[in-house]
Amino acid sequence: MAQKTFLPNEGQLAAVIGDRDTVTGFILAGVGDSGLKKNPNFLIVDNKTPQDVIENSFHNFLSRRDIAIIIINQHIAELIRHLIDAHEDPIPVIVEIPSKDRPYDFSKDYIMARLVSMKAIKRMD
Amino acid sequence: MGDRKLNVVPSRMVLANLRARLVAAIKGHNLLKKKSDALTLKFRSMINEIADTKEQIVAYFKEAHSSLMDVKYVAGTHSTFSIIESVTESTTKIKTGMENIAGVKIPKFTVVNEHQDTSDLRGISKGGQQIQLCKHKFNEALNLLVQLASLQVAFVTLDEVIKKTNRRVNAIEHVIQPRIENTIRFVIDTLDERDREEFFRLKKIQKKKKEKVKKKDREKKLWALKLEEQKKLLSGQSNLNQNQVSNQISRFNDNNNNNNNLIDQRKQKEIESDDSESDSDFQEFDDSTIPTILSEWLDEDEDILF
Repeated sequence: MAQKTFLPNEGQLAAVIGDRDTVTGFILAGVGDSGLKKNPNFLIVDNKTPQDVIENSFHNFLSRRDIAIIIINQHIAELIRHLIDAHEDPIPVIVEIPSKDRPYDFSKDYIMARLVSMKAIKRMD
Repeated sequence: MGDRKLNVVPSRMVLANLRARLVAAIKGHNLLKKKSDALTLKFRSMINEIADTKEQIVAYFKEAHSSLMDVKYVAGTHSTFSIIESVTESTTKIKTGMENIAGVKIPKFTVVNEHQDTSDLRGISKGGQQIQLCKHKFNEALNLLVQLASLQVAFVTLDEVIKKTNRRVNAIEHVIQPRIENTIRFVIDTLDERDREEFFRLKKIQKKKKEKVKKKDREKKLWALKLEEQKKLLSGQSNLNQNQVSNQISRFNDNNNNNNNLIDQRKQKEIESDDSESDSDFQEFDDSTIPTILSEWLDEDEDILF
């Protein structure tokens, strides 16, 4: 796994994949960017959104050089867990956040899972 | 693995090189171990920090979502569509900096807000205060989120670097160092063995040379004796008294314990054992057995003898 070289960068974006409320909130915070060629840095996912749309847009965000962080609702992260697990480069960072109407499960977060396993190892020795 | 040795030609120079390499390996091992320790320390503190931040974020988002509910209530449910439609260019950007932890470069994110309050939301006529509040809440959440992102990226990077460093430490400790040590031992053994061989060889040569010198001495003496006899015989015929000569010869023979017989025996032996090493039954000549009269003779005939 070759580490992608990263350079100090002034103006990178955060991408958002989430339900309507989460995306609205982040757009209010000023994250939203419509892009020049109708290439926005966010995706609104609801019950009717097909899986491959989420996957495509996730791939798109991963390959874009101007995106440093991908913010994703946990229940959507669950849908594309295999892609998140396959992503090993440090940048972009994937951050899982709770959604409005679902409780947050720490054990499902990939970073938290690793933390828990590491703490377990630490307790053993 | 550890028993293996490097493929080298044993020599003094190689030995010196190997010793230098061993010293370097030990130094590198110590440095890497220190680095690993420093990183692990940082890593452990980071683990707790990440867990705390995660929990904090959950609380923050609860607040942020409830304030968004307020916005929806005040401005109408369809206000979210207007907000999403109004997006042009992001005003909140992420600056990627660099942090250095024990020589490991780790990206560090910070939020940069450009012209914060200028975005006008067309289509929403009411609830400005609620919107501002919601904006503020989500901004805070975003700040925390970016902080978490920095921690996560550091976590992943450090994890990898620690693993790599530990692998190197173990490789030096369990493979490279024993291998160099084995090679040094091998070279030293080989050089010692060679020294012993050389010493033995020199001893052998010395012995042979001594033998040669002895043999020549012996021959010289035999020659001398023969010459003396001849001379005496000659001189006895011409002008000396026969009795005197015979007396002298008999005396000489007595001294040498029948030297004439011995001479023949020895000559044969010498021919036999010319190249062989054993010389156990060799009897040394005693210098006193040679009459002093002949010493002058010997000196004159030296050229012939050698």
